[in-house]
Amino acid sequence: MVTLISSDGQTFEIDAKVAEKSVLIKNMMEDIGDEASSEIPIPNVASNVLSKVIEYCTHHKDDPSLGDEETNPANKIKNIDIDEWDQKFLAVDQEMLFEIILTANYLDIKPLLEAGCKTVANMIKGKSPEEIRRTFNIQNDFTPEEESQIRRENEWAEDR
Amino acid sequence: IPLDLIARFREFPLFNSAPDVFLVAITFRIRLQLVNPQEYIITEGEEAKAMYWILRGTVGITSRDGEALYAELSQGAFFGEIGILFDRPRTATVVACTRCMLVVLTADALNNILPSFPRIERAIRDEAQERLAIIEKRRQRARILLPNSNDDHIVEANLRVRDFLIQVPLFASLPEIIIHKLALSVDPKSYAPFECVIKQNSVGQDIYFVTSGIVEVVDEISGVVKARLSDGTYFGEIAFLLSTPRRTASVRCVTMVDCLVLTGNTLNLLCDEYPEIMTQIEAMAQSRINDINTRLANSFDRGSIDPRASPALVSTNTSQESQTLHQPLFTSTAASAINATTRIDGTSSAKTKVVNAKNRTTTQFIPDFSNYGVEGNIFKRKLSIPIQTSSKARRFSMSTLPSQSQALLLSNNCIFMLHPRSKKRTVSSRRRPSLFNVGPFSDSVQVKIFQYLPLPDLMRFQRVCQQWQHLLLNSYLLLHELILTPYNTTIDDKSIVSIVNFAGQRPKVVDISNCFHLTDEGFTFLVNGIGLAKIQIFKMKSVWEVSAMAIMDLTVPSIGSDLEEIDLSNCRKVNDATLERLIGWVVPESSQSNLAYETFDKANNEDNGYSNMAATPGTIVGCCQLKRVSLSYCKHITDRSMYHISACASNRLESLDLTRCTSITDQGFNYWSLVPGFCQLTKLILADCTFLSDSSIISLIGAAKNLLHLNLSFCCSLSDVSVEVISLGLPRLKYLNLSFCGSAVGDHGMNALALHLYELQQLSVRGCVRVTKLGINKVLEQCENLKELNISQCRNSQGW
Repeated sequence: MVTLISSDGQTFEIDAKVAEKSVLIKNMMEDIGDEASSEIPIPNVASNVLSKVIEYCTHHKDDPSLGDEETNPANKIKNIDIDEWDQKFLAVDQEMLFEIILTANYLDIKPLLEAGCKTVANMIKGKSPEEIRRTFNIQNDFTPEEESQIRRENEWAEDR
Repeated sequence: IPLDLIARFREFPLFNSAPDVFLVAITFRIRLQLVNPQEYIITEGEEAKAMYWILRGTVGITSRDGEALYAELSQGAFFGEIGILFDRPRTATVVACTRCMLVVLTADALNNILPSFPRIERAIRDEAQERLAIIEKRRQRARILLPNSNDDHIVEANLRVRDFLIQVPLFASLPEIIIHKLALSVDPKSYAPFECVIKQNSVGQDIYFVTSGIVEVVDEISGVVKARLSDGTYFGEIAFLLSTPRRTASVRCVTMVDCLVLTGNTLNLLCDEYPEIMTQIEAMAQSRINDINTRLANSFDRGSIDPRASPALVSTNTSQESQTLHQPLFTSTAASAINATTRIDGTSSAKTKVVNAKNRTTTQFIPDFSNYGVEGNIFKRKLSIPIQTSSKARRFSMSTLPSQSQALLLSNNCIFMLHPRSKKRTVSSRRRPSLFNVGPFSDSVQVKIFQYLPLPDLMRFQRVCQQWQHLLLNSYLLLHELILTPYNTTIDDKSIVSIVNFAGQRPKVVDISNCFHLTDEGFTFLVNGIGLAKIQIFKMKSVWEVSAMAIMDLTVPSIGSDLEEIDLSNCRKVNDATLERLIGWVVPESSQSNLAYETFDKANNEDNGYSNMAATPGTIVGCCQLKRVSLSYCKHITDRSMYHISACASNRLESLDLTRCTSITDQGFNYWSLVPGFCQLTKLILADCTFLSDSSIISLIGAAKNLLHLNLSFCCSLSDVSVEVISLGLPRLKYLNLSFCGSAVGDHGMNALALHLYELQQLSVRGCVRVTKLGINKVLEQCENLKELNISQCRNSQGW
């Protein structure tokens, strides 16, 4: 058993097998060794997000871990499909989705990160740059001339 | 033929390093043409088939209607050379001014000769490609400024990019292939009088070659003009040599100046790819600096150099030297681990979008260290990854690292190897992207999201913000595959330019199948634009406008040496010469081993008097990794190709599709039985090769015993013998398609298949009218692995 402590001090006692879905925690546990009752603080993840992530890890605890070839973009199969359970799991509000992705990235939970990224990709597919800026709260830091130049250079992509 | 003519040929820049044998061979293929005044010799937009030398008389380069005269060429000049090498439409019109005597060399004639001189061919092709690259880039620019400038090929006639590069002592000793790469990536630029090319103290590592005009080198502080440089000189190399991004002097134009620019990025990229060259360059740089120091004593003769400033600047960041300095930082000692973490803190917090997030990232690390001493180990371990691996592997290892160290790596220039085309984005390089304006995700996560988006979205999202544009243009994790088939109808010579500019040299897999609007112009741009990335798979099914010559661009070693698969289905202009170049060959050790070729030539009564005397034995020509070839519907492919395949690729070919290559006959397969064997060949498609008879199948089975997949549908000339030979000779066969081979497949054949082909998983005997219930039952009983049996339209299989 491992105890995770969220940023707001809440504790989560979980099975080591579940915790090991996170490569970061797995490495930590290996470094701590066999000391009983290990507590691991996850200082930048709030309890509501952490509980969501634990839910994911619990559901997927028996999945085979992905090999290294998965990380090599050369032989990556562009599989756009998201597992049905994951899809439902990620059907949350945008803020939560982003937090889950950030946490998955921080804790190094590859399949969750992939699923999250696919979900975001589906979300922004086909949108205009203006809509993207609104979604992600990004300021347009191009001058109008610069932007219209990029638009001109990529005219082909603009009208589809 | 007068000797004088050979001398004239020699003046043609592309031929000037060719041996006499070659030029003599050329003289046998030329013809003379007499033209009357005002007669059109070539017309803009027409297909180009020949080039011309003027023996006597004067011609004018004019606008299409002959009204505006751009230039006059007289005795000794030549024109039309681009057309002959690249088979593209004429870019200008040429009209005879006086009565002219012309020497005409046709593309066909040249192509006949070139294969006998592989080394010259390579030189010519490399050179032509380099010139074309310049012309393309210039035209690209001209199109925006001035839509109707069409005399560039004349302007370029005397420009040899390579000559410029080689005169830089730094490059003089580099191997040919690298010079070629460099030459392809130079950018032409023009400056107005008094415009500043380089500003003192500005950042930049580009090297400039003056092709015409005069520049002066100015020390801004003292206002002293240190030197004047004119045609054929170069400047700006010191910044690169010293790895100093700051310029030590300003360079200003005196007259209108044309330059070729070789960017620092290109050079850095090259150094990453060929580390051994890096050391060579470093050594060279050192001796240059020493040289300069001694020259300093005799005051400047090349003013852009101010060694006094250099020692302080050598230590500045973002150069390869400092990259190597950076890396030892991440060794596994505790002190440096802490050191590295401090850096992580700095970078990652700077990257986050809002101020309070900054606190969050910081706290994330500090407890790691104070509460758990072991934490340091984790970081050490993670951070040591980039040190051990090569630069290529390091890029991929990014995704396995936790985000914070990624942020560090991403912010470090060395990880983002820039692809050369990003150099044109001067817009964003002037200002740094805001660190607080990147959206909710770190770069690594953002790139992961991008990986799941289609191409048009990626291109469009460049407009979102500068950071996104930077990522989209430069991340090597994106665009490994450039698949344009879904957009086929919108891909033409214009749109391909923007796509290639966006993709840069990232794609390893290119699929332009069905992009039938592409012509040579766009295709050449595509191949040369992304080609240096070493394409592995290239599919261009039904891109039928592209000429045989243009496709040969893929065979240039710097582009095609990694090519493993090519799909040329329905490329109507593909011929034996194209395929021979693609498959390539190794120049034989002695003329003895050349006998095979001679036998072939004799067999075909072909007059091919040229031997390989011009080539060094052992030279590899063409794409020596090519394994999978699809040639369906290439009706110009003949037995000559079959011979070439057997002679040069029998040991590497894995898959071959010859669907409806109707010019191939039994003789072609006969050649296959002459060689040791096609032991790698597992897949062969001969559908619709209606003229093949049993003798082909017999030769084939003798040569390719390891076939797993054989498709003979509509091979109507086969008889029962074929089926019997197949069942005896190809025991490992898993997939066999004999549909509509009515004359070959009957119950007897079915029996034979059933008896011998245990591995068979799929069998199609569609439309074979002689197949009845008996044969079908036999197959079903015996072939235990059979998953699919197609007996549709077997009219006499009633009762089954």
